[in-house]
Amino acid sequence: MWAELGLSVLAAAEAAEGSGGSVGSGGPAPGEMHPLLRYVLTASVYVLCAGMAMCLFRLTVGPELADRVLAADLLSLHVVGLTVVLTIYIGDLVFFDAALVVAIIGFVSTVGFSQYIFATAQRTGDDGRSLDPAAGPGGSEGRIG
Amino acid sequence: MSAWSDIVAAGFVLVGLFFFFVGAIGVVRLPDTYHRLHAATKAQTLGLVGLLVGVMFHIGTGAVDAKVITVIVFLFTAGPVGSHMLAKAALRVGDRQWKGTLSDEHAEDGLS
Repeated sequence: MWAELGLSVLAAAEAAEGSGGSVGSGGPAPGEMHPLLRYVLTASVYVLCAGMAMCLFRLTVGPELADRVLAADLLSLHVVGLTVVLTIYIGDLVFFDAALVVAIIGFVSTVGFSQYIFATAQRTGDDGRSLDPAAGPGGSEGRIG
Repeated sequence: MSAWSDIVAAGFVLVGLFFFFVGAIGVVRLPDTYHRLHAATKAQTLGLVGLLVGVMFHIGTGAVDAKVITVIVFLFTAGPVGSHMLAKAALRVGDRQWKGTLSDEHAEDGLS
């Protein structure tokens, strides 16, 4: 039942792509592949969705802000992986540019959130003492058990 | 495409899925932020490279190869840069470390 569900998801995406034929010449026809590759792609949908669920778990409970940013970055790369699987399945490059765009957006959002975390940190000088008058000295916190 | 290139593509996709899954498990299970960064960055880069090489073997035209190599070069550049910035920011705000951490040279030098 579950394998049929995964195949139907991929087939629906293929139907939505339409029967316009391959843009690039020389590639395989849409949906034409070895049965082993078809099984692997069906399994890959479930593996990637399980990975996305794990990333959502860390995005929800992550104790630090950096954990949430890391989980969002890994989530965007799982989306890229799903797009690449779809590209293999339909045998055409129409969705491959979306993979590149999602990868770039994920990288830029990671850099932006890193700058945000860095900017909200307590400012310390070169000697490790705080530059903010009201705050204590900066430094690493205690270690968790 | 022939059957053999599809079988090779299936092998590369399986390798990529393995790395993706290991990275996701590491993000859930590892004890602190720096361990999770270590798991996520390497696993996601290698996993996506596996899937992209699978695309190269399945389709195999010149346009596909050019785009796949572009994406692989971008990933190998962007992944380490992004995770390094994130780790530096986490050190700066003082994210707590695992109690089994052996060496923290950043704190011993009086930084962070």
